[in-house]
Amino acid sequence: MMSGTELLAPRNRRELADALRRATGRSCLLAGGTDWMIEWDSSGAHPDLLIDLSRLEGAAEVRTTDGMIRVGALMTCAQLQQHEILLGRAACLAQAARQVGSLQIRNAATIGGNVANASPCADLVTALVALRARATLVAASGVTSERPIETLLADQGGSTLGHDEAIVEFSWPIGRAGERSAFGKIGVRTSVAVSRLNAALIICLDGAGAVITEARIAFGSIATSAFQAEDVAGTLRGASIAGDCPEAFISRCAQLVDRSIPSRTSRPYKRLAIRGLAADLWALIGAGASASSATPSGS
Amino acid sequence: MRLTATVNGASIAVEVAANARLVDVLRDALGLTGTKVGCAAGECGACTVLIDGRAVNACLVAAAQVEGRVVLTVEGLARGGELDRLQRKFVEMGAIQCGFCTPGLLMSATALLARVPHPSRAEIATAIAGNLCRCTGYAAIIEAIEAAADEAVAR
Repeated sequence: MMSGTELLAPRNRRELADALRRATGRSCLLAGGTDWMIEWDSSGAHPDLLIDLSRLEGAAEVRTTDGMIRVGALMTCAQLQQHEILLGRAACLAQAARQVGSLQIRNAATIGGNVANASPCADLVTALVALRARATLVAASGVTSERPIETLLADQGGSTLGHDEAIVEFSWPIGRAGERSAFGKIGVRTSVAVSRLNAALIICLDGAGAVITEARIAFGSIATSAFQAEDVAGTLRGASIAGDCPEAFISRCAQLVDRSIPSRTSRPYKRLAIRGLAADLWALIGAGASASSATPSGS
Repeated sequence: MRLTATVNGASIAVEVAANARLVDVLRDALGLTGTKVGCAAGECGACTVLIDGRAVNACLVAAAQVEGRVVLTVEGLARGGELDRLQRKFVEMGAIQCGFCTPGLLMSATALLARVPHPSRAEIATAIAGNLCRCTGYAAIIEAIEAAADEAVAR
């Protein structure tokens, strides 16, 4: 146990700003704790201040307003994976949540924590990047701002969040009719696996529901942070959803690995594994899969 | 800080450090050593307890976040000295060898059966995916959970 650490548990955004004003570089924000509690235990660090976000009112909800889907930062993976709004409108995020860790982890881990921790293999981050989500931040000044999710991810890995900022919500436009999404990951086992590759794909179909008119895809666990790959997504435009997975899509995924990690020792493995991931995503998208039918892939 | 919560049906109030782990409070402050520390990283599930009915790794929960919540540990399963149905089935069906993983597995299974009284094998596998056992190979564990569910449904 650590002594000398002050605990604050803000209940609303005003109290959160008040708490953030007292934060220093040695302070910690605590959501579900599934990342931070391990860091604390291994580093022996003594935070001067612990801001417990778990009591924040209204931060564990999903709602639609003004054409936007809004997800509170304290929604747990277990809640995300079964939320009907996400299952219907952002299946890639629900599927990603369903494949995070174990049930014990999913019952505690939050979407805000997953983004703030900014691991290169963070599953929810990849889905949020594909969704073009924006994060709502509360600062110590009391000012609330919105930032694209990518701006929270540092180029060399980790988060750009300041010690006096907290994520309270994520939002993105409700998808159009005919839009489908899917998430896939490859780990060393079928459950409780850190992603060695992950991807989130979003497509839009034409009025007949037959041809892909638009596509977006984001990848994680390749570079130091998740990123969109426009050239890969472009290979899907014009493809028939009922057809086989376009070879151009698969090939471009492998080329993506080649140019992203040319000297990494994992490149030979990942350039092969991503072909399987591409095929998995195609199968999920083609089936119009809901989150309940997604299963993680083994290596 | 002073932590107040309900643990195994009883109200408790203990002084804890601001960033104390729940598993340490349970074991050291409350003497509930049934909950084990295996990996201390949320990977083995030996420390699984229920908070408000949901299975979590107690090694990853800050005790302060349990304020006002309801916690159930393995010690809370038996009633009046009588093992509960899951515990009996684990014993009867050889689902326990060294026993270190058993408390965590019992808690994961308890949470499952409370939500899904008659789970499929796939649902059982998902529920216990975060509990590692080095001894049994899991078959007897899954069969014990099935048997407990079957017996409960039959009554």
